[in-house]
Amino acid sequence: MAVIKVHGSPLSTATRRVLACLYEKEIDFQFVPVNMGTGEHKSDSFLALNPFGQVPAFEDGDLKLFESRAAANYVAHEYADKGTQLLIPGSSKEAAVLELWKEVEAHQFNSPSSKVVWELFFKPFLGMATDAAVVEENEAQLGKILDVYETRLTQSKYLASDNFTLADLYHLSNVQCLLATPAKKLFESRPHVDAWVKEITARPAWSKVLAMMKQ
Amino acid sequence: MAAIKVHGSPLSTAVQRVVACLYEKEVDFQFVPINMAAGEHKSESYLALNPFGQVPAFEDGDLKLFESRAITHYVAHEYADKGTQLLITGSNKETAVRPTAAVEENEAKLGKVLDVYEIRLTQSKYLAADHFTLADLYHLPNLQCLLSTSAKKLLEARPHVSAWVAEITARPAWSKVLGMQKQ
Repeated sequence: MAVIKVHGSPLSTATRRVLACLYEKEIDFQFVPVNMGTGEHKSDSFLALNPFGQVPAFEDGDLKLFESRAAANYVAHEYADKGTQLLIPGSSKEAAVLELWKEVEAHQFNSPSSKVVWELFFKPFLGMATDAAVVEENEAQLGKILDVYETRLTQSKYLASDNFTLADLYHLSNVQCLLATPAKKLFESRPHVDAWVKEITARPAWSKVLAMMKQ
Repeated sequence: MAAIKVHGSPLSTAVQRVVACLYEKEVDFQFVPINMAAGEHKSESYLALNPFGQVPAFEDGDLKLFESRAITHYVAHEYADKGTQLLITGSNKETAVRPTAAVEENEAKLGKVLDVYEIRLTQSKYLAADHFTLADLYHLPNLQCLLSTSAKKLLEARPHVSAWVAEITARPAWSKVLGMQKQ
């Protein structure tokens, strides 16, 4: 039987993205912790799994992947019949809106939100000083992006459709970190975004990802 | 009249990505120039096409899209039987090698990224398969820009990367994209 393995860290936003997808699809997998504190992600054996030396790395039998969105997208397609439907079935035209919002997450949301998460969430955790100018610049940019989301979410219950899809799932990691920082005000001041954030972070599969931190 | 419209500027790398795909697929389209110097991409009518106020925007009949990779993904699938096959057909495992944005964000670490490409291109004629796919196509606009700068030495120093760059930038469909800049 093919075994699915995820190599990574439960603290890593990218690792969590893949784990969220596997829990939504109710698929068994083996989690292989990678000790980033000791530089294990730069070891030769890990670089064989991800030549960029980043977590996560993913295996399904003889298939090896890296890039969390590529791995999650593969899982959503390969196991389309299991667990939560994360895709939009139908014609290319019907499915195109899912690709659009997946790209919006990767190209618009990811960069400013990751920078704010790094400054306000990870740096204090690591005992490093926050750069207020970086926070201000990226919160402003993130605010403009969330204005577009606010309008979109008046037209659609979730980003790509009236159902939860991969496009929403990709946001979970950074959204969760932002909720633990003062940047959460960016969500709270936008009612439809706020409701969407509460919905998606309350999903049982996401709670399982967060529970891995406690192991 | 073509049902497909691309709104944008021929100088934009994201627009070039979409136009390259349409030329590869030999699909008719209408190009609608957007005057970015005059701020047209921030006008109310344009924001109705792309709420982020960026080029390109895309229409195919009643379907409206933005984000160049979402557009090219749609075109490659909807017109799979036309022109160049840009996808990898087969099982989900065979098609799982997908292009991503993270690589492009590593521009500052370009040399290290190209080292990874150099190894990959000793194993595979193109990035994702032994034939040209979307994964290679997505790189064209930025590679073309790099070739006209001193950064081209990063490409020239890596023989498999250099050969791959020469191959993909010589594609007829890409020449048509570059031809649009002269209009």
